[in-house]
Amino acid sequence: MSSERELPLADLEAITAAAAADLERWRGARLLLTGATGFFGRWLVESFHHANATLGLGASLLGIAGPEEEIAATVPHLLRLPNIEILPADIRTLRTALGSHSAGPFDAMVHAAIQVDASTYAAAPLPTIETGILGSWELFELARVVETKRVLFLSSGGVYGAQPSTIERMSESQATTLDPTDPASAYGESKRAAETLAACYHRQYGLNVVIARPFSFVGPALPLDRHFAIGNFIRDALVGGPIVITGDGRPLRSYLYPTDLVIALWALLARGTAGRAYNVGSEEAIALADVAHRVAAATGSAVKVEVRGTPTDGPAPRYLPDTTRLRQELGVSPRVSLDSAISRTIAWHRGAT
Amino acid sequence: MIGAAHRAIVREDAERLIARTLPWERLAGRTVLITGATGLVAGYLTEFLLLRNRLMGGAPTKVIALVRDLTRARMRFGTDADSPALTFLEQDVAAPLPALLQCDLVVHAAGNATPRRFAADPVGTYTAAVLGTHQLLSHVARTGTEGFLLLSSGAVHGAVPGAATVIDERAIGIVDPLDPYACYAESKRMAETMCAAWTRQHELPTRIARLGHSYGPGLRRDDDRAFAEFVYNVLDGRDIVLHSDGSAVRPYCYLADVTDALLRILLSGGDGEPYLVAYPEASCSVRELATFLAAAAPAHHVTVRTEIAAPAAVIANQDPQRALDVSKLRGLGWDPRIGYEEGFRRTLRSLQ
Repeated sequence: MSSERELPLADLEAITAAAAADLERWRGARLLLTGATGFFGRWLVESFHHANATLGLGASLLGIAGPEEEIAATVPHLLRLPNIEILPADIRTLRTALGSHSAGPFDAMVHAAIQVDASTYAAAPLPTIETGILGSWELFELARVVETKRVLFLSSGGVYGAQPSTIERMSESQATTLDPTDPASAYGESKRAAETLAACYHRQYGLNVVIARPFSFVGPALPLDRHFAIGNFIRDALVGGPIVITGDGRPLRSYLYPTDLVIALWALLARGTAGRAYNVGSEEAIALADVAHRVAAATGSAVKVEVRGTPTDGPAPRYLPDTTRLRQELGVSPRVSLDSAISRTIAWHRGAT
Repeated sequence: MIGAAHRAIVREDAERLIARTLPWERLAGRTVLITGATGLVAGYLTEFLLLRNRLMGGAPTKVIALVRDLTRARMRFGTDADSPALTFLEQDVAAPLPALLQCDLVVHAAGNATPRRFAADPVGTYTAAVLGTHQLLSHVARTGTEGFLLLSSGAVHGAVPGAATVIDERAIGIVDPLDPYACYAESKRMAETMCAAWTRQHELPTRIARLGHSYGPGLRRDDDRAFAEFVYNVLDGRDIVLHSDGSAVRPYCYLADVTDALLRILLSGGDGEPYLVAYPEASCSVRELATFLAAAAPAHHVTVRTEIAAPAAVIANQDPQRALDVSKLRGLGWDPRIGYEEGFRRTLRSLQ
């Protein structure tokens, strides 16, 4: 599997340089991270390790992840990092699974775990709901009991439901529609409800919890075979094409590079306002067909793009964040362009195969 | 806690209710687990099921009443508490059920339902709805069930854009998940999604009732909804004070009609399907209701005054005014009969 290697050192250096002040906050601290081997989690773990070593923070991190075999098969190098422990545990019973690990205090927690298997999700949405709902409750309850100073919950841009065509970019105050009785809402509803629980813990117990709503990303370690269109495009391009678009290619998306994501997440953990949600993503809209062409161009060889879906009328579906709040309150803005993000992703995956 | 007047009214209600055409045979010999059984709606439902046994005969329905406080439950049900058809189970609904507990039908009604309680205990409001639903569905998925009814709320619809919109079950609007009121609305949404997911993945016969303004015998003094305050103002001989212009029109549904609806949805509803439970034809404005209640007990000399002050410390009810379309529930044969005048008159009598 292509992910059996470290993330680009230049990227980790860029994060440490940009987020040094926010990371300083965790000097000598102990952190808990759930979902440690997922895409977000992995970037956070490797970034934490790099900052810890280069800034001499003397901090440690306990990462919660899926089954041991899976960790050993996909991200074995994470198991060898000093001051980082990766613990296989069921997030639904986190406190029990932690056992003696939960005795010591955690200065900060980042909650990124939720199980989504796109191939089984439609027929079996319960694993997503149970990990999303029970996992969040376990984590917030643990944070309350051990009096954790800061908690960052990684929600999702999916909480907004379908973005109305009249709204160019979704801002944090524009919560739209998700039909609760549609099983396909399981992911979005689970994230929404976990946000609500976070707000309840903040209001009732003063839990210092900040919410990030990540949108779409492209970068090294992005799974290419999952339900992310841009990942599928890169997968197709890496084997010489064609890049296949099953729809009409009109939907508008935006992609952020993971270094910009992680810089934002460290800022939110350190400085975000508790009980508040922040969109994290790129504001640069691009149609899926154009994404495919950019991916094709970035390969440097002749890769064809095939749009297989029949053209549709009406406004193109959108999934785009308004990130004014993140910029204005935390001073965080993207640095890596989409073309650079695509090139770096392709280069990393090529090096990995 | 409950007196002779309460018993007489509920019995009279039950006598009328059993004359309606419902699939009563699907209750015969069944065990029904009712959570939050000391609450307004579930308490009345529990009483009705016990009365139905006596009035209709046949194989009795057994009720397992899940309650947080056994002492309070015994007070709520009085002599019914000793009925062989009623068993209490004292526990937190968010905790696992006893592994061997068997029931044929479930009505999940537990949870805070009034704004003051949302404000005082948002986490508890959330966990009763979300973790409670998870525990119950996990349990019945193992033991089997003929029907699982979630008591949800019209609040799940949130703010539906467009003033003239008619609201049916599909009209889902905006609920900000971080809003203080979301501990109720969003947790009910999540509980609904859980029902839909268990139906999809395990074919469980879940059903969802989205209740509106339900009232009737058993209305508690600590219920801080406006209509409950009005009722106790009248009973106490205190003036009714409106804190708004009183123009908001609400559909009020009397508990006998609510109980009829819940049983139809539980016994004949579609799997994973939501049903609005409201009686739009029994709507009246807050001022009309206050005026009616004051006049309904002339001996108490209650007058209606208006005092629009600064926003209160409690969370305001954000439920906007909108027309409801309940044809889906009517499609199950539901035909409510009790308008607000008759219903509130009966409520007042039951509390005297």
